[in-house]
Amino acid sequence: MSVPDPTASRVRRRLGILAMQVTFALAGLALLEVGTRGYLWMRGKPYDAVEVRRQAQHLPRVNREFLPKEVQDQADAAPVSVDAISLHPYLGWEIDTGSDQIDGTIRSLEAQADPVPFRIVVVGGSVASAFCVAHARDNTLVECLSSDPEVPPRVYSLLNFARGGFKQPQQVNFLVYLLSLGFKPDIVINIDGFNEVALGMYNQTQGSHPVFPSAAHWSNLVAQGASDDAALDLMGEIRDSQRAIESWSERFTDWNLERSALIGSLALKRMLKLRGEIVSRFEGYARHLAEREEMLHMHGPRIEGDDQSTIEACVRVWKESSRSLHDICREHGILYLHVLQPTLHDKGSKPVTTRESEHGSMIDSWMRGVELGYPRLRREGQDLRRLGVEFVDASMLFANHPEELYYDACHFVDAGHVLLAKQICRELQRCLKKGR
Amino acid sequence: MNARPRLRAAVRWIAVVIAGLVLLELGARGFLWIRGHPYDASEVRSEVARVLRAERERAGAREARADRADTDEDMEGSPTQRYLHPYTAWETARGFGDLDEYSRSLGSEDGDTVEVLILGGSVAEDFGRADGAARLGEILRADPSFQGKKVRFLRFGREGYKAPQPVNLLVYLLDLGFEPEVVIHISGSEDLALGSDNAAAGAHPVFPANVHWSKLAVWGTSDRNALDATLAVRRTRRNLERWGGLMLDWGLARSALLGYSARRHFLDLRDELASQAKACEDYLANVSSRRSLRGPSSIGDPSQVLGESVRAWEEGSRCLHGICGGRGILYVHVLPPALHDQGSKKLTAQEIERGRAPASWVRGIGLGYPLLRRKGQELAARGIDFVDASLLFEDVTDDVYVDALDFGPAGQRMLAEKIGQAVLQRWPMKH
Repeated sequence: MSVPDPTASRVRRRLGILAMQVTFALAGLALLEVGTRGYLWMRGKPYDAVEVRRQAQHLPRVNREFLPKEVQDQADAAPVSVDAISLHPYLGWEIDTGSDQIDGTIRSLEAQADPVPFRIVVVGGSVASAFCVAHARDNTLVECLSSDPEVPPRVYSLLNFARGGFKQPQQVNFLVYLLSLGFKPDIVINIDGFNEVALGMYNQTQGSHPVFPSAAHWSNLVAQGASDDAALDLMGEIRDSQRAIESWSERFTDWNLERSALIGSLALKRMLKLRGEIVSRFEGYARHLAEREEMLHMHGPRIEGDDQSTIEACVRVWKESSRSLHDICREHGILYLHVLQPTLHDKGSKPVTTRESEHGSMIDSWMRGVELGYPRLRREGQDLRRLGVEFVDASMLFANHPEELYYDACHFVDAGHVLLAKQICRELQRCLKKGR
Repeated sequence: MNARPRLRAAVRWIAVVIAGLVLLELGARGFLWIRGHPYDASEVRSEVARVLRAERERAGAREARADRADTDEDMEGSPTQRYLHPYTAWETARGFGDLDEYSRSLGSEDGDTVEVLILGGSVAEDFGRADGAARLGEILRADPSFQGKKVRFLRFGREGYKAPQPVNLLVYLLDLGFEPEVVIHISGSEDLALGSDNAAAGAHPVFPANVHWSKLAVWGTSDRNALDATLAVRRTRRNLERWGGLMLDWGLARSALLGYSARRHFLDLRDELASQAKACEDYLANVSSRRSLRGPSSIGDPSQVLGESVRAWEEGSRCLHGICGGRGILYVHVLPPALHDQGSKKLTAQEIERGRAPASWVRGIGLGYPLLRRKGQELAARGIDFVDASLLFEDVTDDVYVDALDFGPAGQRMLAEKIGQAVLQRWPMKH
């Protein structure tokens, strides 16, 4: 009778315990995974691996540059430009791809196309830019114009000279710059309103005058480079968080983390937290720059008074610049159309869906700018009409549209752009028939 | 019982360590002495202090440049010091002050005050600030159509401005609430001289004067590489300062062993900082020159350069005319005389001496002025109140010019007479 080997039985026992521990651990993880999925399902937000992966890949893209960009989470949203920006002598700043666009525009003048296209230039901020991007996909405006038998047949060319963050007088200066370079459009469409009141009000909170460009962009460019050590350290913190988001995104892609609801959710939460850190650190950085009051070139003329006087300044900049655009266009025989864009927080302008409400939050100064500014813009728009400006109040365009059109506080999905394109088309047809 | 031997052992070990350190210290000193570089603690300390001071000064200079002041003309802190401006490329310290002063009286003007806005480059600036505006004021006030009126000049001529800067400036002022009744725009010589100069420097003629803009626009980029390069410099500089501070505060330099190693690391950091700073500056210069400094792809053919400058000048005039016309503002565009416009004046020996200018200026004005005169006629045909004053000094034999572009009080008064005449001819039609 053989005596059992005590060492072998000890090893077997230990292996058995280990196997049991591994099994329990795996079962525990599986339970956690199932529990997470069940919890999310019960909360009405079932786990969507594809969506989580998309967001994880999208976050580093919107953080590619120093300035935090809006987070788009709508698949059919026209992408907002995430280009780096550089100083420009007449526009405050310009996106880097803008220089190539200008070069291309100048070359197109030399090419002398036959037939010469009817050039429609769009100016404004990110909504105007997204309008052009959406148009490149669906061509609604040009198709609509071409379908009118009373409008002479033409080859249309729609050119996007709108830039995210632009507000008046940047649109006027852009047209003046293009004319100086020898480029004369046939139609200028200016889609604006939101940035003038929202960013104008934000400027005031940063110690900058509303007539100056968006403080978030301009102050940063002016102060960039070697500025003071405290500013550099704040920038360093922002860049660290940006790099951390990129690392997480790479991990996501390489290890397919989205396959697990538990890990995918936790990782995405971490990335969103980093994103929040970036935004709040950037606000700290902007505040730091704002405190450098001695820098008139950073903040522009001094502005004093309450919100109401700031809004008056914002509205005056918007109105006077539109008049200038109108006058310059009239002098050059260009048809000028000024469109007041709709915006989510303009009360009564749209039945807001739950999702729009969830995704449409914005900072206080923007909110105050829209609430105080939009009624004033509508009223001054009537005055612009009286002065001969082809002003289109599209602020109530979505008033009877209960469907989801906004994906954040001011940008809309393609369906919104189609509605806007149709309204602009009607107005252009009217003007073109008038023979203007 | 066992404590004493253990204590003895510990003391022995400490003594061995100390002896070892002393030996190492002596060895290090001996090694350095044999190599012909005997260790000098005070030299190490002063070297560290010197490097730290130099780096702080360098960082301070970079900060000053980041404040975007054009400081290399011996005018730091002066009223003519230039700062970045988002719409007109730059503004002077005095210009910011003037705007502040003019803005204070916005909305409080009485109906009896006629505001005359002066736009343009250095000729316009001189005209506004010196005898020109004073004489123009006298002429206007003396006319019956200005009876009982006060004339207030808004002086916005800026040395180096050329099209489209005056247009952007007017748009900006109107946005701020200014409501001038007359706009006098004196331009031509700088549009040609500086446009031509830009092309010679590889910049587009429509971009602002490269000689000023290029100094202000460096660092004006937000791309991540620029940022990371800047931050790397900052981190290394911080490390250098921390390490240098440690060496000085803890007196590490007293020991040859520690002082030598710490100094090596300190100097490595200094070299790293120098190479990072160089890489950063090179990158920024490259990025800036490509994107912000030069404007659209440059053009080489001199006739094309002139064409660009003339068109920008013409478009500037048309834009200003359109904007003013829409608001009932009287707009008068004046082409001033220029020394290098051949045949426009019999130059004195002193004027020839004072009027020396870069070849690009001479070429630009020499070839461009006839084109501007012709374009001016076209502008007049379009209904623009264009005043060709380019031959104003044709019959003057005295000294008028003080340099290649600008003229002294006598010339300013003559120009004021010409402008006054033009304003008074058109004024009744406006009122």
